[in-house]
Amino acid sequence: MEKHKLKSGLFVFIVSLFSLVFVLRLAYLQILKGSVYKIKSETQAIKAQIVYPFRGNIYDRDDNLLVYNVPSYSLQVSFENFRMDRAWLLGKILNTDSLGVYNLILQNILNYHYGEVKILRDLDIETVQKIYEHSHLLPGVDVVVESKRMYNLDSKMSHIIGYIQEISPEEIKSESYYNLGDYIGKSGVEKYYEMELRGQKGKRFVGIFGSGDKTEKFNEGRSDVPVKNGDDLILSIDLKLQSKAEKLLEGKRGAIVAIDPNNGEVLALVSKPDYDISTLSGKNFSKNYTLLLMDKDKPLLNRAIQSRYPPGSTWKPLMAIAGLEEGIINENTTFFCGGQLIFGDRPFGCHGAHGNVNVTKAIQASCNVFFYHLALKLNLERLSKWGLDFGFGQKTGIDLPFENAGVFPTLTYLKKKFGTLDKAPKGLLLNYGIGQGEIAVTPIQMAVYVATIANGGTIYTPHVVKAIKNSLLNQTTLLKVEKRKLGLNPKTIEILKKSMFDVVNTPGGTAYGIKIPNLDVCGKTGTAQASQPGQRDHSWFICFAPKDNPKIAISVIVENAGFGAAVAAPIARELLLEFFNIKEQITRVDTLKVLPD
Amino acid sequence: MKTNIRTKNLTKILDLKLLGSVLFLILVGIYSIYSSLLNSETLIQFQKHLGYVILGIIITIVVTFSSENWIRSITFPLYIVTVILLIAVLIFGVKINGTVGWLKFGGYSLQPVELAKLAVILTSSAFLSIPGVSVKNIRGLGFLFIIFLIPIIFIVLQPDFGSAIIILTLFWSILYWSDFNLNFLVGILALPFLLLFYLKGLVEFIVVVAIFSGIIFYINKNKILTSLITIVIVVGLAFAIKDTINHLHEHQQARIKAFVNPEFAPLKQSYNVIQSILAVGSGGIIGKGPFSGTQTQLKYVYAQPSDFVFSIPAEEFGFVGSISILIAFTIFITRVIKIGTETNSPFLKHIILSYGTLLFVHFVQNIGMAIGLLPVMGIPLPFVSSGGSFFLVNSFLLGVVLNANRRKFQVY
Repeated sequence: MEKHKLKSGLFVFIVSLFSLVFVLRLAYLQILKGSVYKIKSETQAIKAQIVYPFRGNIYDRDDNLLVYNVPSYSLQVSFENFRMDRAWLLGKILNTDSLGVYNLILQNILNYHYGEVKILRDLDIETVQKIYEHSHLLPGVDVVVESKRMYNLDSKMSHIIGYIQEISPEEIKSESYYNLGDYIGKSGVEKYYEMELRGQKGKRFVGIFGSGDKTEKFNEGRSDVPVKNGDDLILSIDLKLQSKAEKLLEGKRGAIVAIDPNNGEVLALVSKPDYDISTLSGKNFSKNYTLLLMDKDKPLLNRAIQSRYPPGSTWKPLMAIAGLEEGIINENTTFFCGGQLIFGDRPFGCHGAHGNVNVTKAIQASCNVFFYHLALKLNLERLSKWGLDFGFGQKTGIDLPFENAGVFPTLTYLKKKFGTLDKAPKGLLLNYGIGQGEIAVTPIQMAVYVATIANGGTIYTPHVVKAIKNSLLNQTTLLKVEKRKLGLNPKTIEILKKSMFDVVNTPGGTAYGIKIPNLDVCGKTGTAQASQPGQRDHSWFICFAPKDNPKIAISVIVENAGFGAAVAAPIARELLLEFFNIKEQITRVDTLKVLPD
Repeated sequence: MKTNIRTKNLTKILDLKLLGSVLFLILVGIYSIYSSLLNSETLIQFQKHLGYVILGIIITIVVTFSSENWIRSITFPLYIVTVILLIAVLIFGVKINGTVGWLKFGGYSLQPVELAKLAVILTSSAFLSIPGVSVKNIRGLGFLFIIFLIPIIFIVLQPDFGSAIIILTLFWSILYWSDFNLNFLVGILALPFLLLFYLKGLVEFIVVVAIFSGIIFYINKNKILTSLITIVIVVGLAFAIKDTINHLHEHQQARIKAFVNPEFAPLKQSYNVIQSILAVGSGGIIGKGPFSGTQTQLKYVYAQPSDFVFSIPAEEFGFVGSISILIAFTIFITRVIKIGTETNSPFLKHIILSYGTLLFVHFVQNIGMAIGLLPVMGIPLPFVSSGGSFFLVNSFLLGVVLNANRRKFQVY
């Protein structure tokens, strides 16, 4: 009995000893190292999957759907779980062999992220079904739903909307939001409003079985990040006007910008040549993009905001405003035009001998000599001030990417060039007076400029997006429009409007040929020297209508087309007819009789 | 009159500490198996387990209220049947994980090796309870050894070394609770542990040597010389074996190293131990919550409902849950030993004490494996692991414990 007690005591002691060792081991594993193991176990078992938002839709000002998305299926392979020995099966589904599958993987290896790579896009439904049917045999192979951009466009609108493409490895370095394989706006509003359109990616945590299979139900979405779809854009573009403008410029090189002078809304914006956006969406991007890049007419260039041209005579109204506002001239001030002005030992020419001309007559007939005299009296300081006030040499701030600021010689620039302003050659001033010299403007700048004259002196920042619609809340927010008042004397505006009215509506006006019955169109023609010698001049026309309470302001440039009145003005006329819905009943313009500006 | 006494002492007969801990373990098992199968296509394994639990409870009740003679009467037939089944499994058995250990009957499978544990316990106990039989004479010892040797041979042929070792420890247990030399038995028991920890590291080795020495001094009371000799012999043997291992071929050494340190085991084994440790460790203090263990729910641990069952509550209920299981086992084993020592019938006494050893070995090996302390062997956790054969064997032996406990109160 004594011995039994000893033995059972010993036995219980040993049992307790082992229990104690276990307790210590468990304390080490679960208390001391618990959090480390927890992280380890969760990293292997729970993976965050990205839930892609739908990119926002794009509508025109009348709520016509222009750009939207359709689901598209992509094949994704996760390297951790993919079984290379099953590549043949995947190959069979994709109508290729294992080698073909390896090739696909290799081709897309650059897009590798988080151990997953999309190896094929735009799968057809049949392939998707086959992959689902064999999913238990294909661990690490997934079909992910992405969205694909669709375009429902009567017109091209390529430079307004722009295209999207997979983000490049270089871009990704500065944009932490994106993963390789994500789409990003590359031009147009797709780029400018990228943040609004793209939405916010969501995260869904899924369980990964030891076997590599995934389970959706795990974790019941507790730590998921909800996906936020992109906001919709409502453009200020008038689809009918836009289509008309594109047709009018078809086959030419140039740009048209039409804006509402009362708020800066862009009604039409065309740059020709352009391209079909859908060719840059999807599989054939590289091929088509290269073709566009190599085209010598540069269809990817948005001439409306990126190309700069000398303004030519369209500059003259600005000179007139400066002269009137500075009190150098009034409506009755006249200068004598004998056909040219000899300045220094150089003659500066005019289109004809206009005799004694006041400002109205000078604009109507586009008399150079009047503006030579005015420029000389105005001097560089005041000329520079007024140019800058109207926004030349600066970006207009339109909501499209890559805008060019144009060139406007500031005083700082001139001082740097000539030492002091006095040393600047006077000939320079004469050239500035008629919109030549270094001055270079973009079509959008010209549209804003003529709109500012139209509305009596307020510069509205031009914009192609009118409002943003939050698709979730179905709430439309109008974008705030920036404006700047120049504080022009109403008398000045009255004189300018009368002068520009005469350009179109009075015999002797440089654009008399485009007169529209019952519509008071005010305009100014211009001819800009081409940068390359030997090429024809660029044809400018800027206008607004009607004279009182204007509804539209237009700038048109056609490259290497000759006089403004010959090509640009008739285009503007057609647009005005379209915009005001006027059925044409009279003769076409005889371009041969057009006066030079 | 008799029934009256029974009812009166029902709570004592049933031994609430014992039954409470067993019931707790059964519930842990039911929960764990259910949890591990939640994301499976079928719950059939769980339904079967519930069936075994019910059948097991019935067996326990039947054995509790049966007579000692009845138990004795089934002993020899059971032994014969077991040996036949052990032979049959070698011929008709189903191979799972490299071992031919299962006989399939329809949807059910029988593991003769588990039955063998019951058979040798009953047979050796019956043999030792024959008046005049003693382990101290060579004939008695030899006969006893044969009782163990026959099933062991067939088990090794499967091959299932883990279970063979378990049955050998039952032989050790019989000797331990008989009048065999304690120094020898404790030394034999200590030797593998000394070796194991010697191979693991010097500090661990010194700790184990210290504990071993303490135990030897304790059992020898004031006989210091005997103690010292025992210690020197056993530790010396450990050194000698270590030295032999050092002279083995490199690949053999590697195999031993892998056995001792699961991290170095072949991919599948080491993977499982690593995943099991990850499951246990990641449970933290209070666990990831019921049915929320990522390791369990997403099936990172192979053979989780059977051999690695401990990792389920450890992950989902953390340190708190793990400790509760350790406490339940400690109470359970302690109570079994206490009832065993207090039992007068030599037959029942031997059964119960052997059962105590069986519980102890399974408990230590199974949990030790799940927490990466002991080598991987397919040894289930009593009343917790899935697997019907072992559950029913345990139910039977628990019945014997309760039977003896019932008798104790009837005597008074």
